[in-house]
Amino acid sequence: MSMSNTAAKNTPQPTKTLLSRCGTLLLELSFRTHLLISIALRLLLITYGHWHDAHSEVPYTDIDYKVVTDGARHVLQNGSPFNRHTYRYSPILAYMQLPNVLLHPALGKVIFAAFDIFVAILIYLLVRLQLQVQCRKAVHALLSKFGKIRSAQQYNETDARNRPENIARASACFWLYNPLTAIISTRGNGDSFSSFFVILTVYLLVKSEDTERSANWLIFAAGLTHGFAIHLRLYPLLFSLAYYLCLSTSLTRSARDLLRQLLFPSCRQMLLVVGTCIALFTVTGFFYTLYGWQYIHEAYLYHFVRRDVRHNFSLYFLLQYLSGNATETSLLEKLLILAPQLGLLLYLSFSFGQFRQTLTFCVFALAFVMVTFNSVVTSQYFVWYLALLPLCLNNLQAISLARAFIYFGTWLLGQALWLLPAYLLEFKTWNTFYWIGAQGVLFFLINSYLLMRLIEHYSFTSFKVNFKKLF
Amino acid sequence: MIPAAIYTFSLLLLLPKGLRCSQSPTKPIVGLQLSDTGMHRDLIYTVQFTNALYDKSCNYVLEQLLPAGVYISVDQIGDLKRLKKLNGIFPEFVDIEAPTEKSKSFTIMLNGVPQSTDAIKLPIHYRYHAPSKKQKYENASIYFLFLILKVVLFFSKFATVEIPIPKLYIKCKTLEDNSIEEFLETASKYNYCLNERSISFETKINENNSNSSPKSNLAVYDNCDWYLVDVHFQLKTDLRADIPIGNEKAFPPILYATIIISWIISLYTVFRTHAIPRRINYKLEEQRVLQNKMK
Repeated sequence: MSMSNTAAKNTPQPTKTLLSRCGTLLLELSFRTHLLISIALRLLLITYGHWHDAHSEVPYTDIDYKVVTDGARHVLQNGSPFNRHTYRYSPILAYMQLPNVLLHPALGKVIFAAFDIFVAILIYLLVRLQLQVQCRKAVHALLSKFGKIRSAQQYNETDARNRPENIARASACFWLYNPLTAIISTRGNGDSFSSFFVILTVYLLVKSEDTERSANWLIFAAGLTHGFAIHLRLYPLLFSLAYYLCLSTSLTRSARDLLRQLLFPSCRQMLLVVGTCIALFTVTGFFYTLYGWQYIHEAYLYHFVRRDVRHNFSLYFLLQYLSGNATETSLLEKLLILAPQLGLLLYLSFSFGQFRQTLTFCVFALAFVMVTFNSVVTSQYFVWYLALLPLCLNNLQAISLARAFIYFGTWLLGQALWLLPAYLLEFKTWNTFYWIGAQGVLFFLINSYLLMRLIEHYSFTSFKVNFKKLF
Repeated sequence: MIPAAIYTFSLLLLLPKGLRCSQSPTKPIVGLQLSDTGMHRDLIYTVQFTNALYDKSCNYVLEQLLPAGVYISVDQIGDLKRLKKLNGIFPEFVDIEAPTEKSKSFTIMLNGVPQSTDAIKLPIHYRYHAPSKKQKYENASIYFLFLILKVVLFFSKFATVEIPIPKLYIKCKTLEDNSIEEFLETASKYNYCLNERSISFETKINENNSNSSPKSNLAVYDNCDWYLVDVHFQLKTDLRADIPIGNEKAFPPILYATIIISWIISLYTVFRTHAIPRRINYKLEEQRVLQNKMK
């Protein structure tokens, strides 16, 4: 009996062994190897897309990619990219896609996929930096309580037990191996490009706290990248208050404090504002001189007056559709519609935007609210916050793996339930406008619930300090 | 019996050449089918010609008017042209975002070569319609039997979009001594010129039209000798589609419900979570004060 038990124990279980070996192998891989695998995966997807488009009537390539490539074609003919119908981006995207026209039609996708990789590198650097800064601050605070300030210099900031490298690598892999983002970028969508500049801004702001000597330059550079990010897409504009507040020297507790902060900015806050304005107005002004009012209208103003009545995930879809062409909402009604979103954005900026330690979560939560409350919501918009979510993974360790799967499953379920009436409308011409509206409400409720749960599980420090080494 | 046979024989001899039984012109058959259901469909044309035209280097064009409720995706058409699955003349720009009420009908031309059976598949898309106050129900007689389904009726409005039948034009390069009328029944005595710029057929009668410049006339008359042909249409499916529309009367309740939901959720989010950032911020502020003291 005992012998048979031993034999059973010694018999290898191939599936389990293979899975565990694969898991161990993935965990042991260096960040560089993960990058190389991701680059290969993306190149493979681009190649597949090229082959698919040559053979199939349903293209792999995103329609926006064609729009931007057409924009590049107009640029090459000394025209305006805005001559292409539905070109509603910064002209920079058209210039970036010039290789599409000149060399190979898939090169633009390679450029966008490269920014996918750059985003992962930034995520890695930022998470590692944040962990180091947070750890150091926690140690300093602890030592100062015991009056042993000098010992802090000897303490190894990157204590191996805090695993900053591992957490940073896991966060970057969360982005690198996300099928949604990989497919979106290899289909030729440029959202990773703008996400890169959003994360770069946060990185520079966090980095500025880590260094004393070049802090001001870093903040000015953060302003420049922020201005450029706003030039590319309008949504980073709503991160401005959080960026501004995180540079304050005291806690803003009331509206009076805020007013004081706005009226009497600190030197660093001024640098941020000046950097933002310089980048935003220089780049936008330059393209305005080239393409005139049409550029301002198509790239920016259009998004304010946009009235997309076609079905989408938004809470406001049914409302927009039913308002039709004739029904106009009054100013009061418009304010009542807009106020909850603005209120939440203000609340989150004040709650999580006042310290650089919590800035990444703040930016993520702001992007999440923007998308959830947007008047038009499609899958592409999810990239806005999916690019920022890996930055906060370390802060959400209180969520167990099982619970994380439940949350992710709920988020997917919300979309799947919406897809059914959308399919029936689009492909069966059933009148499911109200059903889609109801599913939009459900998806909105799911997103709001998830936001609440993420905030409730948020913690900004969880360090193990080596007391023996410290004292 | 014999006089009748003589009469018939002499009548056949006296008939004009083109109307004799052996070479009597036949009508091409154009089958029309609207595939599947939904907002994205294919309009399938099956064009059948008599074999007398196969060796005459002929081309035909189907002139199709698409109503305001329908659009084509220029990018999709471009892909199909590149894959050589579709040939024709299409507008350079079609607004794919505008609803029906803000759109206009437009014409497209589909090219083909006469053969025993030629199939053309044109992908079309239906536009959304603005909500309406009018009560127009699908299968109303059935639904009215059930009181409970009155609620369904409120939510089940449809607008009908009908695609008109196309016109067929033909042009042959090598007819030798024969005229086109010998092979096909023409619907008009004129021959037409194809204006690719305006995507239309024009008669040469307009030659002296003061509105058109000589240069444009030259371009138009480069591609003439098109004949409008009588066609026998076979409708394999209904060319009408019922497109769902919303009820404008539902707007006020939906407006207030949306506002209430968004307000409740926002306030509840703040109410439920406000203690967490407050605790974190005080902790971080404490850290900052200690750090400042150290400096």
